[in-house]
Amino acid sequence: MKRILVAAILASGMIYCPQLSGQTGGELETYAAKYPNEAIIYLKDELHLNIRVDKTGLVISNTANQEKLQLEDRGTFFSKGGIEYSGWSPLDQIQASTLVPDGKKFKTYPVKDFTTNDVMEDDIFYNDTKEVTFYFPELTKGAHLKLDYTLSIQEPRFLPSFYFGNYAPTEHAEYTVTFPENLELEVVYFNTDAEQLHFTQTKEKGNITYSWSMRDIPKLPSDDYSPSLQYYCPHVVVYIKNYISGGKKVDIINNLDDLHNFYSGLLDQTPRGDRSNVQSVVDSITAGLSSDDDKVKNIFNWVQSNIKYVAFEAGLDGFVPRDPAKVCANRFGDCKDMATLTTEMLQMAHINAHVAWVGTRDIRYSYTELPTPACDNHMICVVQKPDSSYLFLDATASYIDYTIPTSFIQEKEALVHLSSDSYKLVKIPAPASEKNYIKENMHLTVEDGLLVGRSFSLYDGYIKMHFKNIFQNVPAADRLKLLEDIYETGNNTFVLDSIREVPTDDNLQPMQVSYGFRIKNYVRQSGNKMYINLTLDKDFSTEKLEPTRVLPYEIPYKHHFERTVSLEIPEGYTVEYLPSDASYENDNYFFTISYTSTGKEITMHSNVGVKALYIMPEEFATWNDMITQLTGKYMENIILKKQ
Amino acid sequence: MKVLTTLFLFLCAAHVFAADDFILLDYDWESSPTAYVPNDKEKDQSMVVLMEKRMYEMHYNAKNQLEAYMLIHKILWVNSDDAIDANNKIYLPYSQASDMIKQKVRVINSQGKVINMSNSSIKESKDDESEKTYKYFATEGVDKGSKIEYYFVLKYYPDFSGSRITLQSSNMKENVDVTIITPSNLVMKCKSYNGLPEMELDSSETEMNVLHLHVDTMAALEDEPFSNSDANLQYVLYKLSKNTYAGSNEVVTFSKYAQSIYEVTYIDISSSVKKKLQKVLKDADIESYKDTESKVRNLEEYIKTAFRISDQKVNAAEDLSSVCDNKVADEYGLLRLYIALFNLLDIDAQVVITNNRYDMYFDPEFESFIFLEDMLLYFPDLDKYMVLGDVFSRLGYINTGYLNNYGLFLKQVEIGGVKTAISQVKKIEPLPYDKVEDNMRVEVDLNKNISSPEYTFHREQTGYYAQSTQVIYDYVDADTKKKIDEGQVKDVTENMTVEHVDLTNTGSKFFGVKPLITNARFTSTEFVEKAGDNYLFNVGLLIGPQAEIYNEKPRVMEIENGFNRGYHRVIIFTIPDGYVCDNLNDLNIDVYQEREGERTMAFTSSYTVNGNTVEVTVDEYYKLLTLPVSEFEEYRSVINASANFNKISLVLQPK
Repeated sequence: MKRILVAAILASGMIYCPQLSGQTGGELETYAAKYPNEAIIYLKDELHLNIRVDKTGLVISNTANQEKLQLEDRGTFFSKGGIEYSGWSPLDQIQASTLVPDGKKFKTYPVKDFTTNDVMEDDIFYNDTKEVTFYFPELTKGAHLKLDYTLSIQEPRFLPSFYFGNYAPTEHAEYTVTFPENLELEVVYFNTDAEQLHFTQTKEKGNITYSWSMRDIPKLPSDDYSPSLQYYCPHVVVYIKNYISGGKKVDIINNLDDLHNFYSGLLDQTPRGDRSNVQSVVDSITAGLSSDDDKVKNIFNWVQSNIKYVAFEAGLDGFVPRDPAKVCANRFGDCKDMATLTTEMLQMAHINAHVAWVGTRDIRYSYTELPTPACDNHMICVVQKPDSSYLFLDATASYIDYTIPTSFIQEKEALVHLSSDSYKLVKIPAPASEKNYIKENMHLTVEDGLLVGRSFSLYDGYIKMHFKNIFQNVPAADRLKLLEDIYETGNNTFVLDSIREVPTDDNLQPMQVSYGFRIKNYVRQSGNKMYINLTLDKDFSTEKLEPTRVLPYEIPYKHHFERTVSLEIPEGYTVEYLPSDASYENDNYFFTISYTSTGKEITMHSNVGVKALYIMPEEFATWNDMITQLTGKYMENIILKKQ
Repeated sequence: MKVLTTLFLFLCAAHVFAADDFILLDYDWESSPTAYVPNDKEKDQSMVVLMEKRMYEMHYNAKNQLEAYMLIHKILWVNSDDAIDANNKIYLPYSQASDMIKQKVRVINSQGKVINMSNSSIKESKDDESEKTYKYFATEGVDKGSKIEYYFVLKYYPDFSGSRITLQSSNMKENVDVTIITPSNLVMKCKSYNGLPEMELDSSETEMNVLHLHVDTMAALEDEPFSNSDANLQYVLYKLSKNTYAGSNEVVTFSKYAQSIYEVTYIDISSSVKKKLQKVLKDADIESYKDTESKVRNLEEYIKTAFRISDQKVNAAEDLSSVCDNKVADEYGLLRLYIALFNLLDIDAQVVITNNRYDMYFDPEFESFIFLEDMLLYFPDLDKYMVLGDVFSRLGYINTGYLNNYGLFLKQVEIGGVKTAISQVKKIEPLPYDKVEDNMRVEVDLNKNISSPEYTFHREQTGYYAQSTQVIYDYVDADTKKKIDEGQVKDVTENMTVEHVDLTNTGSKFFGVKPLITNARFTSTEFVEKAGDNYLFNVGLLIGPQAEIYNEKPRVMEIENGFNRGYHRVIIFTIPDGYVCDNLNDLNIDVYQEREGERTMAFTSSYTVNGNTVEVTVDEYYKLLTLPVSEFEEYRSVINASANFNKISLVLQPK
């Protein structure tokens, strides 16, 4: 009897102890009128960071006080509450209660039961994250949902950020930081400033309190394919530069040097045992190679195909790379393990390689504006070539060419670890649209009303990576069905007759695929005329942005699709109509479509692409205009007439 | 449910086992394994399970208590990166009441190197909500062509009321082996399903019962459209049949279960509880409804919104008085509440206990509690069912997994002044096709802005087609409502601009009572293509995307649908002035299956012309929930007829 309980699961043994408190006076009516479309709002969203110095050093805690107001009757819909925390910031205390309106007062119903579970995540194999869950009792229209908890922060470099915004409107948000006057604290603002946040500073008994607050914060927008919250939500990040303890100055992070020092110390904790197994792999895969590029390629390919991604993120496991000898033998590791192994192997082959820290694209910070661990969440290997150019090797992607970085770190900064006391910041490039493409040549004939085609396609860059993954990873037994779904074009009667990857000498070459297919019900005939739409693949046609969209449209990588479709004119037919040519181009996106006829063959040529990683809101209108023009062209047919 | 656990007490033992006697406590794997060399058939596979051995061993210990151990031992051969990714992390979930006695993991890589994993690399997580512990580990040194081998021995509490061992999967398996060992007085009953050989009793054993089954090669069962894969997998069910020292009666029977449910459900109500129940009825305003159906429906609506369901086993959630006070109930608390309330209202409600056919079908011939999972109520006066705990379902439309399945029905009877329950296994019949419909009417005047004309859209959905929208509508915010509203129209195509949309009869109180109605206007460039001054009107696309079934591989499983269903669609369009259409006859399609003169499924489309206006009528229905493999082609032809209609394009040429 497990499955049928779909609704919220209630914690056991609740004994209600109603207490009267507070004043309700017209509150519900006021907020219901102010937020007619909302079922719940935040009345209060506060975070208080408290930093003390005692004999043992820094003592940091973080207290959250939240209060929500339920504006509509939703049964038990909002009852489940919970917070997550890791070993870096264990939970000190938690309290929750429901305040139910009772005449002009509230009755308080405290939550009695909190359940703690280990959190198992799909993409992280092992972590020490725990989740406390509970249920707000007695929820009703007008009820307040109160939650207060305190986390104790174990590592002074991992202070929380505070975001002025939630996925429900927030009446009042406040962030305070209290710290001793002999502690130097740095404040960094993102998408806001001190004035907008009514910044105040007070001093009492040797402690300084910074306070920021905001009222009437609208709910955060939620558009698909948009950059992360960090890019648009107002938030404040603080970090401790140094403090005085026992008359001596203790440095935490004064600048990027200190962050690098801290990271360097973590790298030093990687065990250094016998690495002969790594050496023997390097020897075997670089034997006879003279060029450095070939060595880099072979070593990178080896790590890519032999080490599987398995992430451990409990405590220092999340920061200290494992012994490369062990990673090499175990055949699995996470990003830092792969980065360290790749670097170690390359260094064994006398390549100028270094590990580097990097933030993925959803982290907006640069190391210079915010020199803290909040800046990164990933590690890669960086090779500096003799011509001073760089390679960004990220073996967590199994099929990427070594010449390009992974797409999720494009245009980010790498903090390259040169030695224990030196580093370098290097900007990671975004490969141009010309590098990521599908180039397809399709040849079509009409046989008994059936459209029969042969295609030869080239894939390169990130697109090549996706196709390599499909072709090399999926077992033969399942491959054809999967490819049929992927290659389906025209309509869903598409049948893939044959498909193969054409081998190339060098895996840096574009991937080559040839296939044959048939489509029923595609060629339309009426009387003595035949109508055929030669734009079988309608690239970008579904990418029109909603008029309500407010956030930038994020594109995974710059890319383009170039297609040449030739139709053999059937025996006895002549060309009656060819659609006109069309094109569009600006700095960030483009298309061209053209038709030509030789009398024996009609050829449609199209090229559609994007040259930016973001379409910004001010461009939405022109972007949509291009998509409208393009989809208009996609609706055009050629006409063939029987003589 | 405390009562049920007392059904099994084994006091007598003929043969007492010392710990040393347990085979499983000494179990070990082959000491020097070698790399695997695949045969031709295996080479093409992503992975092969080279061995799967399961053993369940039960004996009486020195204290005369039954002690049980189970073993799972597997050898996987991984032959693709995908298979490595899927199997280099192994999770062993087990109940917190069990003890992991032993676990061993090793990898024999493609070169034959053996890598033994130390127990220290095995992680553990506990989940208090599901009361499960997970042991899990990342296997070390796996390359393509490796064997991953692991086994574990658990001390556990066997469930004699019925257990399932599912053996078949989507991977090919070899050397599948199951052994069940019980003391001689505990006689087990087993049944194999879907072509799996039966477990055989080893007649040479006298001191214990040994049941065994072995399969050399078990084909993979691949998913097929319109099928019920999990229920079609080869599996074996086992349960205790007799304890010969306690008598010769069947231990596990449906009627015993029914009796125990009856005893905890139909309880005496004190006058104070009665008052509380009457308050519930008052809060639900049941008095204001006159007919039985309205009363049932509104009581259900009230309880499903005002009460919260707990799956924690606490007295407060079962005790009727606390349930009324706290508005929190577990499943039994809920059952007691409903039964007591319907009693007060003098409405006949029978308890039905069943399971989800998408796990496996309820087998009326194998009396086991494994099928007795979920509780429904059946109202004979209405001939309708209700699901107790699912807040997303309502009277008349129970979860589709219960349809076409058997259930254990129990009803209260009075015999000689004594109230008791009688039980019966009966089928829960699927709903007829006209109870679940998705109907639409689309109108367009192609005289106006032909390349992006405005369409008038009217849709009426009933039953399961309306469920997800009607039931959740009250619970979502304005933004989500807007997305749901537009989604109702965009089922036709994503590529449209919705100019206006409004929904009628949203909210759970309308589900099962009134159709969900969507009225909208939209513009789209999707339906009219151009060729010079000719137009191609893709009228077929207006019924929305239709699946095409291919016939690449011979059909293995019988056809099984979630529910019977019907679609009635009308498309009305105006041919632009000065244009003619020569291929209207393409619109005539009539594909159907007939049994004994009655159409059991059909796709029929036709048209009429009135001046410039063409009215297309499309009727599609499926009246049978399941069809044998032999009728797959007929089913396919009806499904594909709608896919063919989908591709009809009318050519509009200047006169």
